[in-house]
Amino acid sequence: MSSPHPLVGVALQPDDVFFEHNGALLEEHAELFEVTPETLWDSRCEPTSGHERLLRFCKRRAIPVVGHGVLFSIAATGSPQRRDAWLRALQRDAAAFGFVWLSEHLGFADAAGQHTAWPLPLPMTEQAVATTAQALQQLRTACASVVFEAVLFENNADLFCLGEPLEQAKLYSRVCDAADAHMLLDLHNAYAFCRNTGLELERFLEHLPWSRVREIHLSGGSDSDPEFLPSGRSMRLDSHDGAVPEAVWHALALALPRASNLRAVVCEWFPEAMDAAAGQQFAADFARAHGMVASAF
Amino acid sequence: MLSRLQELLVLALRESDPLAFLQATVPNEVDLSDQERAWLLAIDGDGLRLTRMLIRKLRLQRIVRGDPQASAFMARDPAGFAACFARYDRDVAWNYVFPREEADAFRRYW
Repeated sequence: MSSPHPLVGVALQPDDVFFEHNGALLEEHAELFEVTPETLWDSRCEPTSGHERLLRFCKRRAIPVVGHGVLFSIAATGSPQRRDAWLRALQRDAAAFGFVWLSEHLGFADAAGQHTAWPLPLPMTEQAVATTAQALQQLRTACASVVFEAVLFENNADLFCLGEPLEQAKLYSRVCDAADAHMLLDLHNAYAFCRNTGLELERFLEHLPWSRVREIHLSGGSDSDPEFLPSGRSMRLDSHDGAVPEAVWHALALALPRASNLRAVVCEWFPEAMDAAAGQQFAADFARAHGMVASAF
Repeated sequence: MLSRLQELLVLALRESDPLAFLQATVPNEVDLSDQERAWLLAIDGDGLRLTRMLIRKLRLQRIVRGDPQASAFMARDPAGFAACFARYDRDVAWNYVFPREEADAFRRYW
C-alpha cells in the first residue's frame, strides 16, 4: 500500500443501518476500510452473512482493507481455548480481505476460566510485555500468507489503571520493541483514559512511541450517567456514538506532525447509534479529518 | 505473578463490590509480588465498578442480539427480563464470546 499521505478510512460495519446512512462516505470518499473479523463470525468462527456482505463490498470498492480485532486477548497469560480456531479464522480472513495489517486491542479478556468481552488493563511489567509480544507474533504468523505489513496494538479507554497512568506509555514502547509491532493510537481512548485517571492528555501524548504509530482511530464517546456510581462520578466511555470532541481534534493536530510513519486515520461509529443525523455528523467528522491529514502531509 | 493478578481482577469483577473483594483477598495472596499487591489495592473503585457494569451490559447485548425470543422478552417485560438476567449473570460464569452461544445459554437457563 503506497500513498503520498496517510489514507483516511472508515471502520466498516455489516449492518443495514450503517450502509443506509453512510452511502456517499462508503461508496465514494473512504480511502481505506477497517474490518473487525470476529464480528462477522458465528460461534465456530465460520463466516456469517455479514462476512459475505462486507467481503463483496470491499472487493467491489477495491481500496485497501485492514483488520482490527478486539477479543483475541493478546495479554492473557493462559491461552484461551478458542485461540487455535480464532487464528485459523484470522488466517482465512486475512487472505480473503487482503488485510494490509492487523491490529488488536491491548489487554486481556480471559482469566480464571472466564471471558469478559472487554480487554482489561495491564501493569507495566516485563511479563506483560513478553506475553503480549508472544501473542502478537502468533497474529503475524497467521497472516504471513498474504501481503502483510505489520501487527499493531491499540490503546484502550481504561476506567482504571494498574500503577501510574503514565507508565502505560512506557508499556506501549516496550511492546513495540519486544514484538517489532506498531501502534494503533485511538485518540478518543487516550482522551478517555486520561480523563478517567487524572492524567493530562498532552503529557500522555508526549510519551508515546510516535515513530511506531501507524494508524489513528477517531471517534466520539459519552460521559457515564452519574447515577451509575454510588459516588455520583461521571467517567468517559468509549461508546463510538457521537461527534469527535474538540479535545480529540486538538490531539489529532498534535499527533499528525509527530507520527512520521502514519499510514491511516480511521473514523469509527457504532451501528447501534447510527441514524440519519449521525450519518451527517460522521461524514462531517470524516471530511474534517481528511482536511487535517491533507494539510499535514 | 501476572496470571494471578489477571485471575483476581476477573474474579473481583464477578462480585457486586469488586473493590471490597480485592481488599479482602489481595493482602493474603502469596502469588503476587509486593508491587502487584500494591497496584491491585490502589485501583480506582469507581473505574472497577463501571468496568463491571460495561462487561454485564455487553453480556446482555449478546443475549438480545443472539436470540429474537430474548429480545422479545425484554421488549414485553423489561423488569422481568432484567431480573432474569441478573439471576443468570450471578449463576452462570462468563464463558461465552459470541451472541448466539450466550443467547443459547440464557435460553437454557430461563
